[in-house]
Amino acid sequence: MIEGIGIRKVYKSGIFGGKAVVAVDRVDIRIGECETVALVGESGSGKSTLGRILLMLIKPDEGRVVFDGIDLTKLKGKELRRIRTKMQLIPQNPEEAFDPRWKIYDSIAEPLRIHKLADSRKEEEGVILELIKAVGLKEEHLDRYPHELSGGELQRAVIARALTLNPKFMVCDEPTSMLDISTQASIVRLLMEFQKKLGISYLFITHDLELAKVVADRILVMKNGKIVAEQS
Amino acid sequence: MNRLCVTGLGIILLMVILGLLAPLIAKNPYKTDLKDRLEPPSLKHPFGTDQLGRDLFSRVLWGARTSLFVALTISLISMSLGCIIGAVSGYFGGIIDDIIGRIIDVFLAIPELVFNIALVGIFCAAYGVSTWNVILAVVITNWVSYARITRGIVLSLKEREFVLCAKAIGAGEWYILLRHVIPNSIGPIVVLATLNMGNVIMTIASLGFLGLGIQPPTPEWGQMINAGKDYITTAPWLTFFPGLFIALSVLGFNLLGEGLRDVLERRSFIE
Amino acid sequence: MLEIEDLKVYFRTNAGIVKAVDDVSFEVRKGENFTIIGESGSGKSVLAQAILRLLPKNAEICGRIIFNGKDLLKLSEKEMRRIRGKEIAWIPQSQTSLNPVLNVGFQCAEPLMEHFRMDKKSAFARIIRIFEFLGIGGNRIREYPHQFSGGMRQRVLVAMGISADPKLIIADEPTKGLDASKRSQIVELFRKIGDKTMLIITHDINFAENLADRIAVMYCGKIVEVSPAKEFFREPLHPYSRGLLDSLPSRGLKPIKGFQPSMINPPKGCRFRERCEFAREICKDEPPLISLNGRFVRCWLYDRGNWD
Repeated sequence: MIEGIGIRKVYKSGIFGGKAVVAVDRVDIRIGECETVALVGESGSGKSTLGRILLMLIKPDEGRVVFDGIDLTKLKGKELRRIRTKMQLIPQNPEEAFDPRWKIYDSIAEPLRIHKLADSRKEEEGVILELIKAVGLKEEHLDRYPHELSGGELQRAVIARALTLNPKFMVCDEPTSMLDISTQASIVRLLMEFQKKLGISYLFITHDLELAKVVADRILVMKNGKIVAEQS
Repeated sequence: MNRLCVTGLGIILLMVILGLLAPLIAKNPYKTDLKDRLEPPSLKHPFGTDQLGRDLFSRVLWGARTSLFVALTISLISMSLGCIIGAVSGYFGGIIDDIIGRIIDVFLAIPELVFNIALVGIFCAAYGVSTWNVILAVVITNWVSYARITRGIVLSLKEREFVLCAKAIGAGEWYILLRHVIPNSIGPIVVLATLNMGNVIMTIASLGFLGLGIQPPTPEWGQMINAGKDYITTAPWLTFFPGLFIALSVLGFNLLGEGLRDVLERRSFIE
Repeated sequence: MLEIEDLKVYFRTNAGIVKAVDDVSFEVRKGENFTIIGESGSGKSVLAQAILRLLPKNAEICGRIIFNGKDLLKLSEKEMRRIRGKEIAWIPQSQTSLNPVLNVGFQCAEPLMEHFRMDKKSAFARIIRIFEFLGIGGNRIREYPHQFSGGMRQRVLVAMGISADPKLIIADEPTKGLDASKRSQIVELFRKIGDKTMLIITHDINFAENLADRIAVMYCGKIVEVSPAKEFFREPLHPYSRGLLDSLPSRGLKPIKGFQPSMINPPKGCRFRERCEFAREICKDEPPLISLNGRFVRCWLYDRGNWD
């Protein structure tokens, strides 16, 4: 499904780039169809960077990202943007995930509009209503602004937006670390349910080993930019 | 509604209305009457007359037209220019940002008024005397503050997760800049623009006072003060009324700007 | 030591009255670790701030907060200032609670110099001892907050809290925003000062399980259960407590159905009723606080008169 081969990313800081931090150090990672791989590690271990590299939101310094047989590192702007519809990100902080000036409806409709997937306003509305029900929100939520929703509701809306494009692969970057425990349970259950229904592969980034054990088929432990252990 | 906002807006509206109604309520500001020179304020001439016997009330009102129109033109041009340059610089980063950043630094290092005087002088020598010289000169020094502020806002917005999310759903760079980044930076820029209007009015008046701004006989406050300064002991109203109007309009914009800042910042705090 | 009776904290907002804390009573005994568990929006942080009277002016507080025989709500601001830091210490949520332009040693020594009129030298000597005891390292006393990592900063806050040897420590979400491994370090840290009387506010159930002597569960402004920790984790009484524990990954990751109701217009009667699998007609009335073998629960399920 998706594969990262020899991925390396170095951040340089200081005036002359003298201080270098190796965020990801020649990592190989493979996630199969319908598989959930959990990436566990402390903050600063490079797990978030690795997730973003697989989505090509960050360009790796070395290595390749192969998605469905296509080397993403060789693609340019437009082609890459088209492939991106097949892979999505569920970010850590749902309160930051939406443009604060946009209503939830417009934010969820945005991917459809960018990729011109709905022929009419009516079709667009139909798709969004169906999705919003599937993630457990109500129609009234659509007309609100992000700051009027709770963290759990927002994270459901984030999931709805990611699903508009029928992705095959999602990176969930600590999707519940800012949420309450009972909300965490419902969000994670929701993600697992969609995986079964739609056949999505997940890279599930978390620092909670207990959570990883429940969610994942395989667990990778990351430390200092390297994958140091694997258990299934 | 915020009290500062209302007061500031009231003063500005008063200025604008007086300026707009000038053709109706004021007399011809150019008509000289040497018999009525340097008359003190009276019912016939509420602000008195100047050294050429022109009605000062009419000249001050027409002056509001000139000052506000020129200041607005300058602000709009420098705001659009500054915001686009700042946003591009902040969003795309890299070498573009380095170059623009250094240019901004150079501009900030030169005292604004001195720079303006020099520019007006050069333009006058090159193209002859015209109001556009003033506009151009002030725009050249003014866009920098917009660019600097916009760049800062855009740099911080760029790191926000919703921008990353937009990228992840396949949005292009220009789309994100125009639809997400710029709309979210408008609040502080509006505040800056309002506060800056006051500055620009001051600059225009300063240039006018130095004889470099809008040229007589067009009524302009700074230039009127300059003409009136020779009579400051015998006819103080010649300097007082134009000065009052400069002060009031600057105050109006400053109050409105401060008020807007309160309102916008409180809202972003709640959000 | 600390007794809270019928405490209410209301906020008047444009949208209506927010009953952040509604009719809460409990008692913290000397030497114990009393932990209040609750999710965001349950009013637990407001409760903690109400005890120290740190709430903004628009808060309306009524009830009694009795600390060592004195009702804190009746004290003047000046008398209150003498209690804060000296008698009751406050350990705030981590990260931004330290002043970035003062070195940590000075910040920790400040309450000592303020309340006990200690001179700088002996105050610093004491702080160095506390730093070493908490594993910060006495030599770091002149460093500034930005030189510390998140976990270390939390230690500094704890050091600041215990420096004046207070009778009661109130800690607000001590593990918020920290990684799993850092959390276990903070647990160790609180174990070290475990002989103190502590009121801990947290949403981190693992943290509570490791440290608490008694547990109170807060939901929507009400305390729904108070139990000794061991019994609580073996057999929670209130349906919400049960749901909360079951939603832990290690206990099955089972979500509670529905959403938390709004604090402005909470449902009448039991506030958990709409999400509760045992809800019956009687739950539309306010449930009483029922005492059961030294435990307290606010649920009709345990009312003897209603057993059918």
